[in-house]
Amino acid sequence: MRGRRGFTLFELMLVIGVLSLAIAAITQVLVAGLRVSRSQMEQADMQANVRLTGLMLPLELREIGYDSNITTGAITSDIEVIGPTYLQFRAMRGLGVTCGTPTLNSFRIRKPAMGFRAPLLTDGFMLYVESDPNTWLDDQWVPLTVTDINYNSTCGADEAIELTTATPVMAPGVNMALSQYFVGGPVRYYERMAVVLYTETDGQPYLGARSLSLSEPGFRPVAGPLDPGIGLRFQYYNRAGVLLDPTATQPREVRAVDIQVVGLSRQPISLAGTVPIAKGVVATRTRVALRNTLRH
Amino acid sequence: MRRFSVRNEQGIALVLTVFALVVIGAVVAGTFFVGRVEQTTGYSTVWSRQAGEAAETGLTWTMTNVEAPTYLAIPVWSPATPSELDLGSRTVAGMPHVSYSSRIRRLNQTLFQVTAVGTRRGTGGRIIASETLVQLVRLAKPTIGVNAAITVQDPIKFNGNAFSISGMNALPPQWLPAECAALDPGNSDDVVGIRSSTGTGANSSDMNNIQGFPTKVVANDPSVTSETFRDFLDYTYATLAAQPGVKVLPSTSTYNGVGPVLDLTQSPAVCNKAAALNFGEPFRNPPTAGAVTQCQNYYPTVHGTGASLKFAAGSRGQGILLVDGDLELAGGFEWSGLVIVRGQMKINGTGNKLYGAILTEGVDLNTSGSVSGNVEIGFSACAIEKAVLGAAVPVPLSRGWAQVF
Repeated sequence: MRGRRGFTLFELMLVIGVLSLAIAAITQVLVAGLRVSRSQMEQADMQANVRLTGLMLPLELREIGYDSNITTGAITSDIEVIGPTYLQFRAMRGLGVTCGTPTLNSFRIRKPAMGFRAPLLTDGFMLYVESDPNTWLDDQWVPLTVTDINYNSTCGADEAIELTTATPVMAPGVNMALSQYFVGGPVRYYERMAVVLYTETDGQPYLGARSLSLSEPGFRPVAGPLDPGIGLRFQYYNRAGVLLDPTATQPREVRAVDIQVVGLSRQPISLAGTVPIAKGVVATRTRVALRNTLRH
Repeated sequence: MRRFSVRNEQGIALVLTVFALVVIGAVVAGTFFVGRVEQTTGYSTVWSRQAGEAAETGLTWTMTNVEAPTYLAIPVWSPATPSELDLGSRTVAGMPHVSYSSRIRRLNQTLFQVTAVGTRRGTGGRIIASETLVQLVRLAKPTIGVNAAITVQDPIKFNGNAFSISGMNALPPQWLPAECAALDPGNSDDVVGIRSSTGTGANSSDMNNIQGFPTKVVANDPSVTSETFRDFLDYTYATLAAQPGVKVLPSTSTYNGVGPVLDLTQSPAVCNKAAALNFGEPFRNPPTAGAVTQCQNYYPTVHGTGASLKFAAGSRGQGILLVDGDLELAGGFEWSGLVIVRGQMKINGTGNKLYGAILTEGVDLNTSGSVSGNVEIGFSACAIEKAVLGAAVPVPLSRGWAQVF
């Protein structure tokens, strides 16, 4: 080992200093990169939430319709309750076409039914009754009380779903006659749903959904977190495009719903790589024309 | 001078560099991955909406381009006879990758299901997004209670005996039996010649030129009211006149030589339904030479809005003729279908022929209608049905729109 000399203190300190600077710089870059990466993931998650809300709600709402009872003149709307952050409605789940020979207590629809899914016993049902085939002025959707569903029925050689029903009622005290009904008519089934801006157990506000048909006890989160103040806003318009006051409006007047969604990131984000101090915000606004609000 | 040997150097620069590169690479890869996922999701959303809008276009196209007679020619669908009207596929203008196809299924005698599929194709024609929409439809048509060759409220004023009025159901001359439902060889589809809420105006000599079943004429019929001329179930006179595509003849005018019009810019030429004075072709060929066959299935609704409307010097058409004021036929006028006149109707000259039915209200005028000259008026259930179907339109049902994926 003789003849070999070590580094001087100055040399060591110089090297350590240079290395420290290099490591600090690299660390800075890495930390900034990690922040950017994390922020981008947060941002993507937030955008996905808002996008999901912006797609799901119009999909649920645009099939909403209404119908009037020919005898009583009463209007039945698929929107049940409206509010600035709350909406309760009949979400259409499918459409079937009747087949076979019906009785007043049994209607069969061809398989497969069209739409989201097959009918459930918890669904609401409506039967299209023509009455006089020479005119559509007396046509109406009649509520159908379904007491049983047989998914393995047939229409001749074809598969069908049989709905066991109470006798359809055209108006209070007026039962439907079979002569008023024509095979091949449609049956619609729906799930009563409510959507709202609500606070989940984690303390964050979410778009919540609840199936009233399934008697769900509370709301479940669908998308979020959303802004606690303006995260979800519904505005309602009538057929003339006039903005309606939801506290003074009958749901049957609604022809279009404006949906505003403001999403928040779960954590503060910084796309510049600096120390994040604020949560990210992204907003979307969609107006949904209710496609089935025509009388005929 | 000192010399350094590299053989025993044990630095950590390489390790640090590799570590840093791995970490930086992971961060960059993660960033790209997030961006890529966002981009793909965004594209998918756009493609999905393009397919959805294409499907909407398909529904709209079908509803506006397929006419009532085409709907009615479709047999009722069943698994045993699964026949649908396939309307083919079309590309959305300006978007070669986006297309729609549509088809119509008849559910029963009155209801139809229009299905439209919108597709967005990617490279190589592969379908990358599609949406299927359904619109339930029924046909709305005027239901006009016609049970006489001529239905009036004021008595008809007859001059001379060169006329023929028949309530016996028949095809318009030259019409082929295949166009219509079979005629009853008995009398179940025959009606009276003249039905009036007051007097018919026909005396005993006029009766020689009038036919009908069960009687030639019915006077003082309480079923003939002003509603007979205005209320047609799905339609009123006003809503029928306000239908899209109705040919409006404004003001007080005289029209000569109105006949079917061809669109010669097409090859082969087609019936020019946009022409203001094309009222369809009531003649059939054979045997009438010169009949415009392309317009034989065109049954427009024509609306005269002036105080009076006059056809002179040979005009022809088929469908529904609505006249707000008075109608004068001054010779050579031939019409197959329905004629509904809110005022008085005056027929003179020779060669006037009307097959189907005539309803004239005339409640606001003191004068009586008059029929003179060589006039032929015949009840034709087939001509009425064709005219009514010509005015029929497909109407979307309430709650009839559905996304079926």
